[in-house]
Formats: sequence, structure tokens, C-alpha cells
Amino acid sequence: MKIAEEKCQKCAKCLPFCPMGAIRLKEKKVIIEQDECVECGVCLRAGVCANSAFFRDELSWPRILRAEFSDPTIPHKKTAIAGRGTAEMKTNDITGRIKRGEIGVAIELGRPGVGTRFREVEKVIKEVTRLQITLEEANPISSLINDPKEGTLYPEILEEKVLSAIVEFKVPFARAEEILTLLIKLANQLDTVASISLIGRSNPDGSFPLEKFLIQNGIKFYPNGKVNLGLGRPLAEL
Amino acid sequence: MTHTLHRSGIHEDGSDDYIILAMVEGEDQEKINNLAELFRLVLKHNPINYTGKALFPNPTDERLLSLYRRIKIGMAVFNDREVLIQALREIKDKELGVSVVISGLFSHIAEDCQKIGLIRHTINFSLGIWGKREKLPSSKILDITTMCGHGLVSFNLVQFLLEEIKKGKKRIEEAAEILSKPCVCGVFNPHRAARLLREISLNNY
Repeated sequence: MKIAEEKCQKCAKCLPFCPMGAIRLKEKKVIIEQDECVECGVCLRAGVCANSAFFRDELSWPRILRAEFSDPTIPHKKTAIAGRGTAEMKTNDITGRIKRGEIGVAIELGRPGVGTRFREVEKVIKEVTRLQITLEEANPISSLINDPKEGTLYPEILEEKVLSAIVEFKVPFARAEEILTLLIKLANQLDTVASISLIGRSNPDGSFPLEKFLIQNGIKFYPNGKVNLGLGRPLAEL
Repeated sequence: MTHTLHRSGIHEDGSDDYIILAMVEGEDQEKINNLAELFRLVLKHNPINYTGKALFPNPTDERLLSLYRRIKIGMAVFNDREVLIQALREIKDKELGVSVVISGLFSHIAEDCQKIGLIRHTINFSLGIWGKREKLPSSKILDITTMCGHGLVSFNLVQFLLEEIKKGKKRIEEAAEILSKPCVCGVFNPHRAARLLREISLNNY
């Protein structure tokens, strides 16, 4: 994002709206720290600037990734879908993406509200790749992998900053403990925060083996979350 | 897309935060029309926030249904569990064949599904926040900002509005509305935000 200097009245009312704190007062001017700005567009949409001083230049590669990952109104060029991830469990009743005997795993780097550089995302992808786990193809991160064998990203994107990015995959249920141990270890080595989530399918009797696994292993989880009600038709078989 | 998953600070002893999400993958026109029909039912129940509210503040505005047909997804936030149950009953009875996801307390959703005669299909659990937690503000502020899953509600905006409330320059409800604006999906719950702002203001967190 940029500020048209001639339009800015230096009222500084916009400063608190920036999720990254990238709008600052410097030498009596309101400026945007370009390296910290994730192009989320909040300042532009907030309607806080009486003089409409905010604008966005046409973004080129790799900076365009900031907007694609941080501004939900901008679709990814590759997938034409806006946002950071996929439909994951939202349509699982129809797609059968996560089947019985599997768990869906997502680690969202930068969330909540801290942001992440892609170099942090690469750390996670490298480890997941080392364990021979395939990332969710529809997730926009997959299109940024330069070397699928090593799990490295295109080098020119590593310092780009985004509000968050999700590394998403599924594994057999039997690997749940191994994967969770890895993710928690990895998350604690990152230079940002990460929100971790798991997806599990119900048994025919309506019980959830994943919930049982988490409780039995003393793994804390929020008492709230998302539940697919199984109303989609036709239902996936598994 | 985990819009409503990692909402922090929701406790077993009560909740005023439930979200209905419905979406269609692909281009099945019948399903897309059914999605719009589903939201015709849902919006009749006056959700406190919903996808497109910024453009169409009246939930019965027919243009909202065109919006949902175009984006193939919609969300609506309720603070009253009984209203949610009623909306879900109507959705079930219509047999629209569209995938529906509810966010809220698992214990409440399990009870409500049983009442309505639904069997939960898939659950998404949040294991919370890991890594450099020292970069985060207080948990009370997170309870507000995590209501926007895209992270568009800034920590600083909450702090700023708390100061404004303290100085008597903003009413709590007004501050909650300001906080809901950056969330473009319409899943931020201004009712819960107002309650949390009040708690923080009264207790000097």
C-alpha cells in the first residue's frame, strides 16, 4: 500500500487500523514501512482517511504474493480462489477429502495477527517433505514450491511477508502422534506464531476417534471449533 | 480457509457465538441456487453479522442472494443458540443438499445436532497458538481479534478503541462496530466484541 503524500492530512487516524503496525509517523509524515506492509488492504477499505490518500500500485512478482495471501478480496493467480487455504472440511461430506482412518492437518503460520515471512513457511515444508508427506495440491502454497524433493520455495519469495500462510496436508491416523510432535517442535522454532488444527471424520456411530485420541494423549484443544453437519448431497461414501 | 476455527476465549459455561457457513464447490447451478435458498432461510433469522453486510445492511435484501450465488459461499453469525437451532431445523427440513458447517462450542453443537436429528460428519479441532507467543498481546485482546480469521482486525485498533472508551470518546457498541468493519467475510461477532470490551474496561485488563 502507499500513501499519496499530497493528499495525506497527517491526522494519523489510520495508524491503529494496520494489522502489521506498518503505518507510522516519521519526521512529521505518515509513512508505510514497505517491508512490513502485507498489502492486506485494510487501510484502503477502512474508510478512515477523509482524503482517500491510500492507494495500491499494480503489484508485480513476488510482492503480489503479499496481497494474494493477505487480502481476502484478491484471488490467487494460479487457483483463481481468494484466501489462504482450501475448502478442507467445509465440503468434506461431499468431497470425502478426509476419510475415515485419516486426519487433516493444517499449520497456519503468522496467525493470529503477527504475520510471517515465507522463509518460515519453508522451514515447515522442508520437514513435512522430509517425512514424505504430500502437501494439499489445491493450497496456494503448493504452487510456490521450487524443488518438490527438498521442499524449498522459490528463493526470491523467502523475504516476502504475509498475514498468514497455511501448510496443509493429510496423513493416516496412525501417524497422528508423530506428526503432532513434529509440528509442535517446529512451531516452537519459528520466528512467528502458528495456529495448528486437525480434522477428523466421524465413525458410523457418530463418535470421533480423533477427539478420543487428543483426550487420551492429554493434547489440549479449544472447546469450540467447526463441525460439518453432513447435509451435503450426494454424500461421499467414506 | 479456516475463517472461524481459532476463536479464542470461548468457555464451556456459556457462549454467544455461533456461525453458520455453507458453500458449494464446483459449478453445479442447482446447488448454487440451493445455497442462495439456504441463506434466504438463514437471513430471515436476523443474524448479527453475515457475508455482505457491509454492502447490504438489510438481511432480507435479495441482492445478498445474488452475491452468494456468485461467490458460492456465505456465513452468518448468531449470538442466540435457540435461533441457531431454529435455523438449522429449517435447513435440514428443506433438504437442499448443500454442505453446512457450524462453528461454536462442540458440546452445544453435539446437543443441538441430537435434538434436530443430525449426525456430525467431520470436525475441525484447534490446538491453539504455538511459537513466539511473546509477539502477541493479552489474551483478552486476542479473544476479540481472533474473531476475524483473516487477521484483519489489528491488535492496535482494539487498544486504541479501549483508550477511546476510557476517555469517553466512544461508546462500547460503537467501538465494537468499528472493529467488525475490517472483517470482509462478515464473521466477526460485534455482540461478543462489545461484551469483551465491557469486561476489559471494567476490569482494567
